[in-house]
Amino acid sequence: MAHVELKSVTKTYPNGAVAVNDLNLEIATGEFLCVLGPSGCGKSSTLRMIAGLEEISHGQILIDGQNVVGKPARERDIAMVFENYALYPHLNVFNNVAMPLVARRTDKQEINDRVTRIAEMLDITEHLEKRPGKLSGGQRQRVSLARAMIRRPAMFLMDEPLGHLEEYLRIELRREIRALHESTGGTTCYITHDQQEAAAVSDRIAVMSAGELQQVGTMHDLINKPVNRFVAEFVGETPISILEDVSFADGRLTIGDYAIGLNEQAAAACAATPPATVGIRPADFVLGDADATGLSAVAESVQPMGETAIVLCKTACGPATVLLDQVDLPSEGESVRLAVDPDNLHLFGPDGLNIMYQGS
Amino acid sequence: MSQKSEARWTATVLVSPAVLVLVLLNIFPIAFAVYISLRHWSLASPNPPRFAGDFNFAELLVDDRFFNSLWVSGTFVTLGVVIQLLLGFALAFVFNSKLRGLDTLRRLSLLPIMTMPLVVGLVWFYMLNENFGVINWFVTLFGSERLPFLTERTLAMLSIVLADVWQWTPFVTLVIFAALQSLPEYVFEAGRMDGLTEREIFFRITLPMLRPAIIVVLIIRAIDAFRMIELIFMMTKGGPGGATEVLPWYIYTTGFLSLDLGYAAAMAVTMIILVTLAAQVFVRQIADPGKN
Amino acid sequence: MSAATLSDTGAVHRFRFGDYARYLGAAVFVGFCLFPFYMIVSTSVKPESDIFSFPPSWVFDITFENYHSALFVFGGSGVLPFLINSIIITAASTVLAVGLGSMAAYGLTRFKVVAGDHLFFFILSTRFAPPVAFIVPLYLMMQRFGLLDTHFALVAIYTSMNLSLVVWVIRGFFEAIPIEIEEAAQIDGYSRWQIFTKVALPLVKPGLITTSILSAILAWNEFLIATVITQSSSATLPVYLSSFSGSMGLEWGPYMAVGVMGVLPIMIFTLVLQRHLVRGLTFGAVR
Repeated sequence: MAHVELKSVTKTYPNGAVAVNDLNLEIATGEFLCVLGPSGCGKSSTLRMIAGLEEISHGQILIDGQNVVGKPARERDIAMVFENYALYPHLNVFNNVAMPLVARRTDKQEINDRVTRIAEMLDITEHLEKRPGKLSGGQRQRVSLARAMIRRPAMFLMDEPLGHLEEYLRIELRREIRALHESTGGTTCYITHDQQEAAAVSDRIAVMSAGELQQVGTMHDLINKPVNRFVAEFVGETPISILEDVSFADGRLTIGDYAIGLNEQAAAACAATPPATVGIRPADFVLGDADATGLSAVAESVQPMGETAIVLCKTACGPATVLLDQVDLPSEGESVRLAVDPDNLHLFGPDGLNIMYQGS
Repeated sequence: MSQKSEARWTATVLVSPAVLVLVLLNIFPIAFAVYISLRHWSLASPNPPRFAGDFNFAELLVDDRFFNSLWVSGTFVTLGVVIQLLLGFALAFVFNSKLRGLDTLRRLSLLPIMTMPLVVGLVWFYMLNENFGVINWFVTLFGSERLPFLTERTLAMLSIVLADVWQWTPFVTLVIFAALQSLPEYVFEAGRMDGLTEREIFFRITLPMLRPAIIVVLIIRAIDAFRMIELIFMMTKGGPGGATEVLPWYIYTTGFLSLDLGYAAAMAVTMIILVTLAAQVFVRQIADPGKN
Repeated sequence: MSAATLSDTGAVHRFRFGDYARYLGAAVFVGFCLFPFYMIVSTSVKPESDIFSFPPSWVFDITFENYHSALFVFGGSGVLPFLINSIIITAASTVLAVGLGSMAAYGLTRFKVVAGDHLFFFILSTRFAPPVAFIVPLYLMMQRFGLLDTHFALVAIYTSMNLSLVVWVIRGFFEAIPIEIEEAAQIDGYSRWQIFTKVALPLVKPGLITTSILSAILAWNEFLIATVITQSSSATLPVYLSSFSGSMGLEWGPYMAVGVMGVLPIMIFTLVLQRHLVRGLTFGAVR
């Protein structure tokens, strides 16, 4: 099991495009870290640089304290699970899974034992004689996992392994992957663009955008303490509402026609950096009648979703998405007021950074 | 017209002309060739054609010249195809890179493929000429005497192999190169992650994945080389003393110089049988190239 | 050397030893491929005095008198009538082969034809018949119907020789077209024939180009059957070319000029459309 550190890792292409910019990231021994982000954010490039499949332009990658930059992939004791499985099409499942051991000149009997055992663990014993072409997507992915796990490497890298599978398979396999991780340990770096998957499978999540690391933390941290606007807007099942027309004076924050008193800490932060926008999660809104305290809004559409409902509102400060329980829903077109507990405010400065965490 | 009968009518109109042409000019001639092979039929003899049974085939079995032609054909095909395959295979890898200009070079190398085989024979005949051929000029540069490329038994065989290799190695390169380009990169990356050296990747992954293309090109070239006659016509005319008399040449001279059509037909039928057997193997391979 | 194409790793590509070796190998090979062409062309523009010199003369005055001789004088008539025959026969047989072949391919792909699969394999198998096996029966057949030495005979024979390849390649292209497009056209009211001509055929244009090139090459280069079937009025360029082989006192200049004329048209035709050629060939072989 390995401890991995990326120091100032940068990757640029000859045409000048920057894939990864000055990335600093640490993965603890045995940790399951997810790298989450939209397409093109650099997560794949990062993973491939750790693997040794892509060259690094600048920086260091330390595995257990040793810089591996320049070392070929096969000397890094890393196993990788690819997005399109990358199974050897001309070999049957048994030989696919056995390949890492064959490469290390393991003797036949041991290969036999280990392949059989791992095939059982991953429920692919019945497919051992078949070629990958004859397997379904989910089965191929299991074979891919078996091949990665068979040699007990110091680290696992997984590049959107569930990307091409149907919904129900994704849910089932992500549970299995998590379970496997808990039983075997093994530092893992896992890439996905699916937030629920990231939350279900990992210990911590690193959010990337445009080649730069935005924030690392648990899903709880990302949702409740987003470090900038990008993280706040990217993470979360229902989108956060970003409201403008925000000003601060005398310890009170004014959003449009709604004034809120802030606690000491928040007030001090606002005094140091005047807030430019404020983010409020859909569930943190309190919806009141037109004569209640709060930001005046018009409920434009009401979408029931089982036990809850989403109300899309229009305010003078921008659109707001509100999540309510299925009681006392406003009617469409009704004027309402949106209030919020000041502790649930996410205040962002003009540069998009959360002003509460400046310097943290 | 009802939809179903319209479909049937259209299908008939679409498929019949081609089938008709093939039956008339492909199937019927073969059947006719079998018919001729069972007759004494010589344009040089005053007798009209008459039934001969298996006379011609019995003659074949004791005909030394026939067996010589099989031997010569076999040698030509084997030598030529092996050299083309090895060279073409290696060259496919030489061209397999993004270096600038390599692609243009590769396209230029395709010129021999399009050349009229007769002209290929012509130009190599010209270059290998004992007295003024440019190849002999190179030879003398290395201090040797001029070589009788087309009039000495072994050299003549090597000369026609050389011309064939010149023309068709680019074809092998073309097919293997295309196959190589179509291999997905991530399978090789998986190999590297699994711990294989580049050499092991080549033998365990690249080569097996290229197997279908190699077999296709092997069989196409073997069958085509077996049929080759133009080089013999322009370069050696079967000589010296039958050293380059391949089966097609023997058939041609028997039928149109000796005018013994019956005997030529018998040889032709034998050749068709041999080629059909080889073709069966081919069709089976391309139908299911994954089978070992 | 990496097994497949080098991935673009983003590093500046410094030239390594392997790169020079690659260029050298490729250059040597291409040089070997092109040298004979240099020989033909150079001999065809050499004045007669320079042709037989040994060591060969590398510097000479260029003359086109050989081409003039080749076209009008050489061998009595010059090559021009034969050149024209070749063009007519190649063009006609190519059009027929591609036309009939694509029709058959479409019919076999989109319709349930009686014994359709067998028919398809039957058509494919005709590819393997060696021309030399056909010369005896075809000669007698053409003689019987008075078709010896006619354009029609060669056009018909070359069409049949090219059909299998056309059907094989074009079928692959038709299979790649999603049937929904044609079903939509059916709903729009097109007849099945119209769907073939207006919808399906345009979509397989690369295949049509590829097979046209391959069929033209076969017909243009074909020698054995042409030599057996034709004599004078329909003889093609290869027949004319071969008739001088083995003769004494040959004028190599004009002879090489004929060779150039035998090779140049196809080369130009193919090089221009070469992109389509590679795609079409490998479609069948490597799938």
